[in-house]
Amino acid sequence: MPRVLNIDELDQILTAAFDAGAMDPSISARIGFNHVSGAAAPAPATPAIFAELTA
Amino acid sequence: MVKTLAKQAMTTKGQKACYVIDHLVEALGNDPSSSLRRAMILTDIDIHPGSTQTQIMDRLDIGKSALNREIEWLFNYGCIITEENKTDARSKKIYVCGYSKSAISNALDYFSGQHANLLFFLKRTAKFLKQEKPTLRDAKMLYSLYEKKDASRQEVLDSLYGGATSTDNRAYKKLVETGIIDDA
Repeated sequence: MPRVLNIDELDQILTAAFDAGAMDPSISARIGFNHVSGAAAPAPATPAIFAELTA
Repeated sequence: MVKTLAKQAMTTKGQKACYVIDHLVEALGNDPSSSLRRAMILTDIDIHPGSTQTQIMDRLDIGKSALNREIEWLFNYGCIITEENKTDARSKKIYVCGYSKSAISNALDYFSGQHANLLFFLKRTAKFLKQEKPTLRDAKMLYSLYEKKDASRQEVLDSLYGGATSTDNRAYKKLVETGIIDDA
């Protein structure tokens, strides 16, 4: 039977994408999406998987 | 709103990923050979309606000629429309339209409408696939196997879009060769 290697990483990606709710504004800005207009939104906790995007 | 909540609540992460890919295939002219990069470009234009090619290039860090080709493809398949840019006659403003707009909207339902999460999903999936130009077909195979866990090769291939068997088999083989899937 085939299986996905490194399934933990894939699991982290999906958890971050689907379950993390609104993305940290700094990440949104980095990937070109400004969903914050006016006052700065409170920064949510940043899941570890986002760390490399903000590095 | 109810539809969105139902989509979020009634599906596993693997199922959601498969449905998102299905919506993106639909958004891109029902062509599973479309690259994840093309899906990112369409998503980016949806986030920033009225963007010029230069702005898209800067945001996604894509070369000019590569982006030109993708924009031409999107235009020919009726995914985008262009409009004169009154402030700069050398460039055009680009908008997502028609079936692509509604299919992207359906995909966004799985991310609470957050484009940023959809872009994150696409970027990280592309990186995970470790290929020069990973396609929506590759992503669908990956997430089908992730969801089903103990699916056979044939079941994974059956989850695809009814294209040429040789193309699907080649794509599967490449996932094995690049170490994404173990098929020992």
